[in-house]
Amino acid sequence: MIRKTLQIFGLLAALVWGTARADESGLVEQVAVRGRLFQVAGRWEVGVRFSTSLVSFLTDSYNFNLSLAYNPSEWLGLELRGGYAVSFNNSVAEQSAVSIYQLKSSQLNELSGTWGLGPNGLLGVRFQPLYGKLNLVADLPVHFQVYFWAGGGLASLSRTSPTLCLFPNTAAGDPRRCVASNGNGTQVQWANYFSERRLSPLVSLALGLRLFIAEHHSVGLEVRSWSYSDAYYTGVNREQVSPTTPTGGGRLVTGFTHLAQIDLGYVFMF
Amino acid sequence: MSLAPTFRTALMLLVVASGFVPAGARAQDEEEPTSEPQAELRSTPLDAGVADPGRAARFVSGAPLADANVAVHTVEPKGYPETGGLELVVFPVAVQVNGKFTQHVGTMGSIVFHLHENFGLMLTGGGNWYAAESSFNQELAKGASVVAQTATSLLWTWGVMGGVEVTPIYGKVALLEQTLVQFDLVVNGGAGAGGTMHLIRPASQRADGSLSPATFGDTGVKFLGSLGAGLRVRVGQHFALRLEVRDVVYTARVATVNGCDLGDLSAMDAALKSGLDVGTATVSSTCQRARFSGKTTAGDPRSNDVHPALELVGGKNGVPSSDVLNNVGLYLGASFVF
Repeated sequence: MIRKTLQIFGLLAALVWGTARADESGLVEQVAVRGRLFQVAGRWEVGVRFSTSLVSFLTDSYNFNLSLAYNPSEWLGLELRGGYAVSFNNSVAEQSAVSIYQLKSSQLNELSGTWGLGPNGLLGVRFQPLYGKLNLVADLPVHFQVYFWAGGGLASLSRTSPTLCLFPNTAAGDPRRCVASNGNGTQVQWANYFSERRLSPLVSLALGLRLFIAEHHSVGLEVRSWSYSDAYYTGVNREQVSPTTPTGGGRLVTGFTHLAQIDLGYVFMF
Repeated sequence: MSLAPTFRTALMLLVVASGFVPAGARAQDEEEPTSEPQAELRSTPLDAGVADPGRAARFVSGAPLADANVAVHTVEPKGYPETGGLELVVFPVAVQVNGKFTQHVGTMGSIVFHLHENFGLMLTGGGNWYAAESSFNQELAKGASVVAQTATSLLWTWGVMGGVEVTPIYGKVALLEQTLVQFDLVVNGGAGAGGTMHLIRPASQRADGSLSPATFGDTGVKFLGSLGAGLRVRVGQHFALRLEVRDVVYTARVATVNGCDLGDLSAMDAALKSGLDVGTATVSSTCQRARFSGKTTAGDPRSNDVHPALELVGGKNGVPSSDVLNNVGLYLGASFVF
């Protein structure tokens, strides 16, 4: 009887030791993040987002977006975004316009990157391979997902050129004058500059993080780049610029504009 | 005694124990508030009938967090302790991401002494092997005849900073639900000093068609402050990968170029306009006149830099320009932990 009891205790001790060793060796840990609190596979999402430029060169842009997404799996999502961006020339463009207006040269080259985003739509794939959690404070677990987003779409672009003043030879006091001087210094009258609008395809890439705050709610932060076609004129004959010939016989140059934005959003998951 | 009862007993124990092993594992893992019974546990104190209620276990999110004698981690404890460790960090590439008028790419390094599990002392140093005005600034100069003011386009060349690093958040992520990655959120800050320079003359084409390289002038040592945050992913006992965003703030007031102030440069400019050599001008002891005389390695007269340098320090109406610059950089690197 005693021997049998010792055998049983010996076996139990071996099992307990084995279990402890398994934990120490990290076998338990190797199952990665256990008990995913927030599963996204098979769920639809709607979201609202706001983004602003990280670095603005000649234009500032603020973008308001609505999104609809579906997650076929835990690590893949499809997303449709539609939004309206407000873009306008910033102070650097204004200083450039004043300086260009005061140049004596008869031939001008436009600056690149003057197009701003307007209404836009995107369809993209969200690759979300990283799910994690962290202890924000000692007993508050925060679950999150890190994702890479890639997609494309269409946007309405607009610009007001800081170079192409439509009324180059106006007298002081004329309301059509492009750069007016008053008691507060010089002021650029953008309405008297050449403006245009067009549709352009665009490509967008993003790296994002979203924090799950409840079963149906998440908030996110992403860095997003927008790439779209650029078009401007070089070799513009200043004297020929007018409302009827706004590009002054200049040669059209094309390229790409890259806009980097930081995006904050809220998503409701059904 | 036959072996059969012993085997039967062992088999029973194995069956029972096989049920216990995952249970034991679950007990070590964090519990998620996914079911209603756990919700009941959250609101039901389990100290009824316990002699010392102060020591009783009360479940929060399924774990006895309220018991001071029970160590519970939301995320499993770190695999490797940090306290007392020394970490050598190398960032082979630190690239400026907010380059509007300037662009920097460099190599940085840090030494972190971990005084505590979540707190360390840090010494950072390094240099920017590429520091130049941005293409945007050059386009503005060419197309609109406007450039950023001198202080705004100041270039940062090297820096040394001392500071602290804290790791307040520790977490883990699953890569495609299979691979576990443990990481720390690092937040660091420091202060120190660094060298600066400014473009004096941009690259240009000579009359014979050859290229005259750009010239730069030393604009002195400035105060630096740094604030950063990022992720440190531990790879084994001794290695870690780091991805950080650091904002290096530096004060920029361009009052001297190569140690020469407005008076020195005015004197040298006047000498040149009179057809004399810069060596004939009377300058202060800090002025490195030799950097404005003779020829560059490319064969250009250094005296060509005098007038542009005078315009740099002269600013508007003879008042040097000043600014506070933010160099936000993305730092990619690895570290070795002793």
